[in-house]
Amino acid sequence: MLITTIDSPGSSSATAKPPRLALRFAVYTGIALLVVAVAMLWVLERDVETRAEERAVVQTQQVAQATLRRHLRGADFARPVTRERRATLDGNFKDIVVGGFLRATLFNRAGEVTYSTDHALIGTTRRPRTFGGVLAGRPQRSEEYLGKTKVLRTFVPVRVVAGGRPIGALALTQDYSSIDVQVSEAFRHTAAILFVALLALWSSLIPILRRATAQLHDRNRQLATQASELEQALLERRRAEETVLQLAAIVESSHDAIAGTSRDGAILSWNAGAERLFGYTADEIIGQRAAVLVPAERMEELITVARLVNGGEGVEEHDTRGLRKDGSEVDVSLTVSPIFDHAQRVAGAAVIARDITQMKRQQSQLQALLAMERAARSDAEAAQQALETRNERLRELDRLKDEFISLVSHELRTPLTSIRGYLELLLDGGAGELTKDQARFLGVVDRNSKRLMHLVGDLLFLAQVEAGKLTLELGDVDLHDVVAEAVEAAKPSADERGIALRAAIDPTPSILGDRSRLAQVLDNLVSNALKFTTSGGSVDVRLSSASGHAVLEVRDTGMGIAPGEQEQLFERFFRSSEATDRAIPGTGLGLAIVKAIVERHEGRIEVESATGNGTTMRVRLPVRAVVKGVAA
Amino acid sequence: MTAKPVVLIADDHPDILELVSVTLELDGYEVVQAGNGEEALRIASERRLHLAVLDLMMPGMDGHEVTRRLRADDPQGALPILILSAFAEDRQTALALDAGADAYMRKPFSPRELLATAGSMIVGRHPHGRLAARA
Repeated sequence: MLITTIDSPGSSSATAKPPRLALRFAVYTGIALLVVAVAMLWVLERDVETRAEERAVVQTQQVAQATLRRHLRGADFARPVTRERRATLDGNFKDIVVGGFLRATLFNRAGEVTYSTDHALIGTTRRPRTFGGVLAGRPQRSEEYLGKTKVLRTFVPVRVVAGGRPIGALALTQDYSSIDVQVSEAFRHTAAILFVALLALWSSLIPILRRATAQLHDRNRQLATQASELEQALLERRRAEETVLQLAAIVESSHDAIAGTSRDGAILSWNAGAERLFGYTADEIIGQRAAVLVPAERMEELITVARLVNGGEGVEEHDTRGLRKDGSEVDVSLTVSPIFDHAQRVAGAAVIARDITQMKRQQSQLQALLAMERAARSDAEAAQQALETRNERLRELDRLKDEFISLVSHELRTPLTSIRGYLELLLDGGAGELTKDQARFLGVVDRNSKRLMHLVGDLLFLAQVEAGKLTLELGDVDLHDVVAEAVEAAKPSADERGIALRAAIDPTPSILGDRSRLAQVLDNLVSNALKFTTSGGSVDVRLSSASGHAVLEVRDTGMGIAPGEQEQLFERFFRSSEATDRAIPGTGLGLAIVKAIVERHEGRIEVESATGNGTTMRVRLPVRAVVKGVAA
Repeated sequence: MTAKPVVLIADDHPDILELVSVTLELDGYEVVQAGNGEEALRIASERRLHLAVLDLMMPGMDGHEVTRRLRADDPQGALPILILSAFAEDRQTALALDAGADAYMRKPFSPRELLATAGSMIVGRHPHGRLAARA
């Protein structure tokens, strides 16, 4: 931008100047010549005028000497002439032929007019300023106005003897216009000649002028170019100086150590960063060899770097170690670039050393961390491996357990099959009629084998629950029917034991569940209640609904459960102290199974009881959307 | 009088083999016994049967395999197959039904229940069976 503002005025003036300059020169020289002409004309006019006047004086003298001497007498200059003499003189002066003659007057030495062609003046005394000069013998002339007419009055002294003392003066008054005619005529001629001469001179000057202005213009242009070049050079130099200053400031403020060296390795410049890094001040180090900054065992590196730099190459971010003033070493990243002179020869080197102690420490920390991470990862992988192996083994064990349970259950059922099967055949009379005792004994076998069968069934069921293998066959379950069926099935047993078994069924929505498992829940609860209730007591089964749940309640008037035992009630194989004391048959699996089934349905079971005061088992099952069109 | 329906029973336990046989014979079936899977297949290929009652866990060829082979020769399902097993898991039931069995009954079984099931299976295919006639 700076460059364009410098260039533009020069270029525009170069094209506009020459004609104007030439014109100006022409006008100036014209004016000068005109002034000269006017001056010359003025001088000329004066000169012509003077000469005309002088001629008038001469004429007057001639008149006085040649013409009038014969007629004038000394007495004519003594006192005013007489009337007769006046007439004679009038006749003498009438013949004087002088251009524009107006008047002739004679003065005596006292200035008294002794005679005048204008008779009124005779006898008056008039001493013009110049009269003294006239009396001293010098003719005088003066321009005066006679009325409105410009006149030339010429005084000449009148002598009696040549060279003697003037006795008076003769004054001739002429109309000036007669002299002017002569003057203007001479002037016109001279002026015309002068004008032509000057015009010729001026026109002959024009080409010279043109050449001169063209040369001048070229010269100007050269000068302008030189000036602008000079200005440009100055600007560049200033910029260069600014750049140098900026660079110097950058170098000085850099955290890195920056030094300049000569070709032979002498240190020439040293910034603050270098002072900090190496401990030498600039005064201490400048002039010394770069080798003082290199640990002894690294001299080879220095030589290699020097060779590279002197060959015109550089070194970039080379990690090495530097030697401080105090003898300690420092990790540095070294960048060395050759410095070229104008002839593109290597003049020295720019050396940048960066302190990488921190970085090295961080690197080693990072390495350590990475190593730790690797170790941790391999540990984790080993642990994972171990875990997987263990999981695999656990899965295998799980599978073996499943298989074991399945086999045990199978092996228990197989002999039971024979016992139960043959027993039924016997009781059905498949081997002939039985005696009463035989029937009674076989009844005992039948009852116990049934218990055994249930026990095996319960064990297998719980094993499945524990293995997470209890699957529900979900469907729309109407709990009304389930309750009714359970009560119906338990009725004979209740009647037999003299217990009142009652059912109260409120309208309750169907729930989503496994019907046979829910029936199992209710059977278990009802049979438990009956087992722990003595003759004359009652068992009430109630179905109701509350806040999105179906609530099943089985309340008995039995012996109750001690508060301390209520928590263990749902544990496998737990039997209450009452049950043990009174030898009430049971395996302690029933409630565990109930709880498992209820929880599998996302329901809850709770117990309310006090020793000797009966027990209430309450099951809450969530009602779900199972019938189309009924919301959950 | 029509010929008795012939029932094949396969079980490795002689006691149970005997129990099932007695039960069915009492109800008028002709029973053919097999102590293992291979024997059961041989008999099935030789005799015209009305029902096969198979145990699952037998040494050598098990009940699942016997079922599969019987079904392979009888894609129409002309021979009803009843599995009678001490395996109580649902998984075993599902496997047996997949292999082509028509019904699954768990041991211990009630002889009465067995007779009812067997009768329904045969009568379902043989409308002129004894029980159907009696009904």
